[in-house]
Formats: sequence, C-alpha cells, structure tokens
Amino acid sequence: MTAVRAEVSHARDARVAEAPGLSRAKLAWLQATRRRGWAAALWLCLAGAIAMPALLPLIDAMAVRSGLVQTLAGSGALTVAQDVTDLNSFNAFKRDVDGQVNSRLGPALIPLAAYATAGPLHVVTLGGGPVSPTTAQQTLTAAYSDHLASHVAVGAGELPPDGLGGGDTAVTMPQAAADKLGLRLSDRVCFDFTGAGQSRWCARIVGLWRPLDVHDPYWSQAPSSLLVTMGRFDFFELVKQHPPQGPTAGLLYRASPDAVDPAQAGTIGGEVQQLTAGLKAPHRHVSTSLGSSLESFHAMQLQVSTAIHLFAAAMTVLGLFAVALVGSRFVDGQTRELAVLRARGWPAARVWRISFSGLAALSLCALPVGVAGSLAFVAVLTLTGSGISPAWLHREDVAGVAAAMVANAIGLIAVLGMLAAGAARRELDPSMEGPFRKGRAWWQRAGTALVFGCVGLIGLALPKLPGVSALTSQTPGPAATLIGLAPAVGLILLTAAAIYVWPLGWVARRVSVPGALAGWQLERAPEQHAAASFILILAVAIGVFAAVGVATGAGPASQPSLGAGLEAGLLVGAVVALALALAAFGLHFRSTARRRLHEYGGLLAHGLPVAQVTKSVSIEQAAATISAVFLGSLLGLALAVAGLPVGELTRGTLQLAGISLVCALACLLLCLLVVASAARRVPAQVNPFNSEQRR
Amino acid sequence: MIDPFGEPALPGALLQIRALSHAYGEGPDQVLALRHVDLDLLIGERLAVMGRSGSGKTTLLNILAGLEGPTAGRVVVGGHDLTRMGRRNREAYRRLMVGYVWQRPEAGLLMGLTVLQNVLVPMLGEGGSQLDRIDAAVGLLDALRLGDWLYHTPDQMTPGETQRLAVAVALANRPHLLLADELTARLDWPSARELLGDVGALLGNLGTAAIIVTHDPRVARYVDRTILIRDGVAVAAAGELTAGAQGRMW
Repeated sequence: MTAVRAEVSHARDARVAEAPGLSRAKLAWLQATRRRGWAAALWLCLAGAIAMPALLPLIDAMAVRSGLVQTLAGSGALTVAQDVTDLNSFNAFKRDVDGQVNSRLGPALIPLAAYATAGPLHVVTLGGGPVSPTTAQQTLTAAYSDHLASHVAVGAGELPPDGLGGGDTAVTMPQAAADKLGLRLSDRVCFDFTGAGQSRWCARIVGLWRPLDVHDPYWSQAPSSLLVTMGRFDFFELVKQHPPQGPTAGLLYRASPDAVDPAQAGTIGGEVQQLTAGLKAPHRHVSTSLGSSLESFHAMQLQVSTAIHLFAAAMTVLGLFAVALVGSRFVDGQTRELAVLRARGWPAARVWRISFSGLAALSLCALPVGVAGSLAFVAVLTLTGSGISPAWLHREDVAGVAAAMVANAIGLIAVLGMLAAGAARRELDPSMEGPFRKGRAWWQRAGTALVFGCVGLIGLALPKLPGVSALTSQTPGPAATLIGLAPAVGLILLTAAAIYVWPLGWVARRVSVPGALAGWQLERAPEQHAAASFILILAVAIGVFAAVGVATGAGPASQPSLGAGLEAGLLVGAVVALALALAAFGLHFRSTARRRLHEYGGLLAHGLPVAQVTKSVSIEQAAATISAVFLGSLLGLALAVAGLPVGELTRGTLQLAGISLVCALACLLLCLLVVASAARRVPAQVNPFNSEQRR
Repeated sequence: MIDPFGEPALPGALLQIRALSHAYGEGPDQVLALRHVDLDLLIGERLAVMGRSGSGKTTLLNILAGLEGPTAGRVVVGGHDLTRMGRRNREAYRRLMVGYVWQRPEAGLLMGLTVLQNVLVPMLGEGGSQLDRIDAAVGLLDALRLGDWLYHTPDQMTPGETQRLAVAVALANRPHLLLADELTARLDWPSARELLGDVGALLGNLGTAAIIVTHDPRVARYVDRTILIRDGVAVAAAGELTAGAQGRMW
C-alpha cells in the first residue's frame, strides 16, 4: 500500500513539474488571443491606425524636402557680376556683396565661388615656336576662380597654391581644352589678347584637370570650356595688359537646402527678392530666379501639405473609430469571462489589467508592423523613381513623425483602456445580453443633427472663405494649420449629423419575413449600426477624396515631387481606409449575425430557416452600405472641393475624375459584398441556446 | 465570547444569519424573495437548502456569495459582517472565504483555458510559488477524478466532468464555505451520487462547510441538515438536524 501511494505521489510530482504555469500576463495573452480571427482583425486595424497618421506626414515631409532640393538645384543660385579694374576693386566688391548677403540671408545663402574672367586670349607661341593655324584661331578665357581644387580632379601635374611666385607664371587648364589646342603638361605657352603677338604673356602649364561634376553649380558661370586658370595675383597681373573684355568679377551663391526651412521658403524668397533689389548698382549685374522659385514652391507646398494633413486628420479619426468599434466587439467576447473573474472576487482594477494587458500586447505587436509597413512603403516610393527620397529629411521631420505616431498610439491605447474599463465593470449576467438603449426622440436627433450639420458646414468651408484664405496664405503658423484641418472636423461632424437623421429602415421591404425582421431591427434601435455606418461613410468620403485628388492631378505639375507625394499619400490612405472600414464592417456584422441568432432563437426552434435570418442581416448590411456610399460620396466630393489644390478643371479632367470615382466605389462595393457575405455566415449546425456558439 | 449580534456566540459557528430579507423592485411591484431568515452554520457543516422554484434559494446563495447585498438583516461569515463590508473587503471575501458553483457550471469557467489553468486562475495573486499552486491544483483535480483531463478544455468534457471542474475551481483557494446551486441537477443519480461522495470527501479534507441548493430530496442524505425555503421564509429552524443527516455518507 505504501509503495502504491509512493508511486501515485511520484506520478503527481512528475505532472506538477511538467505542467506549464499560469501568470496574469499569460492569462491576459490567452484571453486576448483566444479568438484568433478577432485578435488578428484588431491587430491589423491597430497596425493601420497606428501607421497612417505618421506615414502621411512622413510622405509630406519627404515630398516637401525633395521638392525643395529640386527647386534649389534648378534655380537655387544667385550670381552677382561687376566689372573690376584691379585686385583692390575685386576685394572691395566681394566684401560689399558678401556683407549684404550675409546680413540679409545668413546661412540660407552660402558663397560658392568668387571668380574673375578676362579675354579673349590667343595662343601665339608654344615652346618658343609658332603654333598651328588651328590653335591660333582658338580663343581662350583667362580666369581666376577660388576653391578650384575642391571641384576638379587633377589628371596631370598639380594645382599651384594661389599667390606662389617664382620664374614662369604657372597656369592650369581643363584637359579637354588642352587636347583641343594640342597643349601638354609643362608646355611653355605665350598668350596675347590681340592675337597679333604685340604684348605677349608667357606661362607654363603645370596642371591639367577635369571637373568632378559638370552639373556642379560651381561651373554654371564658366564662360566656356577653353579656360586658362591661374592664381589671383597672376590674373590681375595679366589684366594689366588691357584685355578687350573684362576683367569681370563674379560672386556665386547657392541656397542651402539644409538651411532653408520649407515652412519659411516664402519668407526667404521675399528676402532674396529684396536682396536682389538692394544689390543692384551701376556696372553690376544680379542674376537669379531663386526668390520667385521659392515663393512659388512655398505656395504649392502649402496647398499640398494642407491637403495631406487634412487627409491624415480624417484618417486618424477613422482609425480611432475603427479600432474603437473592432475593439468593443473584441472586448464583448471577453465580457462573460471577465465577469466570472469579478464574481470570484477579483477587484475591477485587476480585471481591467488582465483585459487591458491583452489589448496592449496586441497594440505592441501592431506597432512594429505599422512601422515596418510604413518604411516598406517609403522604400517602394523611393525606389520607383517618384523623385521623393528620405535622404533629405531632417532630424526634426523624423522627430515630428515619431511624435505623431506616439501620440496616436497613446490615443489608441487610451481608447482600448476605456473599452477594457467598461468590460471590467460589468457584472456576471447569465444572459450576457444587455437590452438595447432606447432610441432618442426624433426631435432630439434632428436638433443634434442640425447643430452638427451647421458647425460641420462651417468647418468644411472655412479655408475657402475669402478673408480666411488670405489670412492663412499670408501668415503661416499653427493657426493656419488648424484652419487647414477645419474641413476634416467638418467632415466628421457632417457624418455624425447624417447618422443621426438618416433613416436606415427604408431599405427593408416589410412584405417578406427577412424584410420584416430587418425593418424591425433598424427601426427599434438604429443606433446599433451607427458606429459601423459612421466608419463606412468616413471611409467612402476618404476614398472619394483620394480618387478625385489623384484623377484631377491635384499635385502641381511644376513640382513633381510634391505632386508625387500627394498622390502617394492619397492612394495609400485610401487603401488603408478601405481595409479599416472592411474590418470594422465585417466584424460588426459578424457580431450582429451571432446576436440575431440568439435573439431569434425561439423562432429558429419553431422552424424559421437560418437562411431567413442571414437574409435579414444582409438587408441590414445593405441599409448601412447604401447610406454610406451615398452620403460618403457627397461628403468626399465636398471635402475634395474644400481641401484639394485643384487647379483649372477641364472637361477631360472631370471625366477622368468621374471614371476614377465610379471605379473606386465599384471596388469598395465589391469588397463590401465579399466581406458582408463572410460576416453574416452562421454555423451550419445552429443551436441558438448554446451561449458559446453564439459568441 | 459575544458574537456580532450581541448574543452568546455559537461555538464553532461559521455563518450566522439574522432577520435576513431581500426584495427585488420597489413600490407596488416589489417582490420579497427572502423574509426574516435566521440561519446558523458550523465550521465544516453541510446544509441542503430545498424549496420550489422562485422560493428564494438562489437569492440566499447570491447574498452569501457576496454577489448581492441584502435589503435588511445581517449576515456574518467567519466573523465578517457581509452587510457592513466595503467593496474591497467584499471582493476579498469572494476570493478567499467562499467558493461558488453556479447552476450552469460553465458560467463560472473560462472556456478558452485548460482544466488546469481554470483551477489556477483563482489562485493568481493569492501568494505561494508557481509550483505550489500547480501542486494544489493537480491535487484538487485528482481528488475530483479529473487528473487525466489537465490539458483539456471545458468544452471537451461531459456535463458531469464540467460540474466537477466547477467544484475544483470553487475550492481552489480553500474557502471556508462552498456554495453550490443545483450541484446535481444535470446529472443522473449514479453520477450525482459519485460526485456528492467525491465532493464530500474533499470538503472533509479541507474542513470546508457547504450549502447546497437542490430540488432533489436524495441529496439531503449527504448533508448534516436540510432547510426548506417557502415563499422566502426558512421553514426548518436553524440548528435543527434533519433525518437525512443520520444516514449521511460524509
């Protein structure tokens, strides 16, 4: 007997040693992942909702920075040229212009080159002998240019330091020019300004070079490739021989993309215009298109950024609502089990921690997915030759995007925390089915809708109001940004107003059993589909806004990066909005279908076919879908008019917009059809009295 | 020793109920579920509560479980006055003093967890090492003949096994009082008898008292006392032994 007991005890010890333990964290994870489909849907919603409010500003920042770099590369130089007589006048000219540029624009405009040219020069002797007629016919430009060594690769010889004296004057020249003239390194060449050999000036070629980058703005002012370059002292010694042209001194400045803040581009453009006017003097020529280019860039950037931020705001709200709806359906599935824990004496705070830990874990899993998805999209955008690159992003851009992502993640986690708190407060109720809240009276709903509608319309139209639009374009800043976001607030309020008064029940035809069931459900508690309808309307509006934006080519043609950024942002936003809306719609109606199964349990037991219940749910789905497509399209078009930088609309553009709108809606309806069909499917073996099955 | 009611303390008393009343609703729609119920229960004692449907049995159990507060009267369990308890104490009472088996046993189970995990859940946060908790849980499940079901989920079990699991979960924290609502209602009598035997042995080992609400008079044979509740009034006097106690198996 003792041996048997010992054996039993040993077997138990083995099982105890092998048994996996249970901690609160593990319990939270098991609860969160118990229904894997729902967990996956919530996880994907979270990933999309976390990523979008950060990805869209990131695309905007990339497009703006890339656009600025392209603008500055194309017309970012300022050249001041003036006739000088000698080294002193050259130095005085340089001091004067440098001082004015520095005092007005500081680091935004950096000196690129100071040069002086004179010509034309003729080669009259080579190594003491005559030159060939071909060489003699060529004319060269004598030039001094500072910082030459930084912009050339020396092919032969060397670049002598400036101001080095000694026997022969040392000159250098481009390899291409030497080849063209038949000159070689160490040749002693005599030049003459007249070509007649009356006043020769002899030098030895000590270096041959070629430009490192022919597109380098440094070379933008080079008069020709047939240059003879020398030190500053030698140059002004040479010009004592009275060249026919020159000497002309020039100062070249380049706008620095690192020092120009896109938000201040307009201001800097204005400063450049004023500088240009201030620099003007007799015998001085100022050449630049930098000021007008920056002003033009700023105006376009403002429109595009406003549109993208508007879109991002709408996407943020959509993400929050989608996560709230999917999260609430997800938490509903845990309510009974959390209530069991409460009934067993667990404090509400501990139950909340269990529920919230699971939701937070899903959020943490979604965060890297959202970040990775965003980075992948950025990589694709960069590699597809859109002209947008993250290479120009500044630290503050990345910090801003990260802050937006963190703020949004905190908002989402707060929503999940509130859902968990609601679930943790509920007590154990065997039926687990709370009654529907009684709907508000029609006049209360109409009153609320009227207030929401009026404020929403004002928000939608605010940026286009004459005084406001002038104010925002003249004084960019936080106030202008908020005014730019007003249409998003307007859209949300108008959507809410529509939800309050839109009669969902009209779709249901009462002549059939499914129609009667659906009509009864839609009339007795229209609020039960309010959240899903709200999300769907918002998603349709966002999709229509994107379709119109892409089809009308809302991005400015003169700024391809800004245009590409806007289109990319609209497209990715529309796709994510569609995914969020489908997830929310699908899970809401899956929950609804299960609930109907329970509600109609008695009817099912008395012979009501399950197909009739399914069909009644499909009518409810149709009611929500039709209202969303109709209202969402209207609101999306209104938002597009209010927020997109749409230029002159041609008939072709309008046709294109119409076609893309129809395509977008058809795509949405097709996806909804598939999701709706899957959502309303109920188990083949129906037992409505099985509480587990109906969940 | 003076008990909380100012009466001489009943030696070994675990539960003392005095003038307990409970009403649902207000005004003319008010329904009195319990009226002036007096009841004592000794440590380790088993009591069956019988009565017709709607007589107030489950209400009594819910009050004793700390799930509902009484409208009037006093309830003292293990020196703790339920009617004067704050929220925190009431939660601690539910965790540590009582174990509850619902009429539908699956109502108190977490269907996504295994049998072992279900028993471990109430132990979380109540001290002891992980190994001690698992050892205690396996011991409980062995005593209730569920040792081979550790890694199954409740939905893979028969009603009888589910009922046993519900008892194991209720006893996980070694409560002083087990409350069971219709413990054997869904079982045939041989299964019910076997369950009552196993639960009785386990309660004996743990020194836990029990109140079992039942419709089945045969259950009375397995308890020390039986009281009858009729229209909210306890008919059998507190402390009075029933005939069934003579032949009890526990």
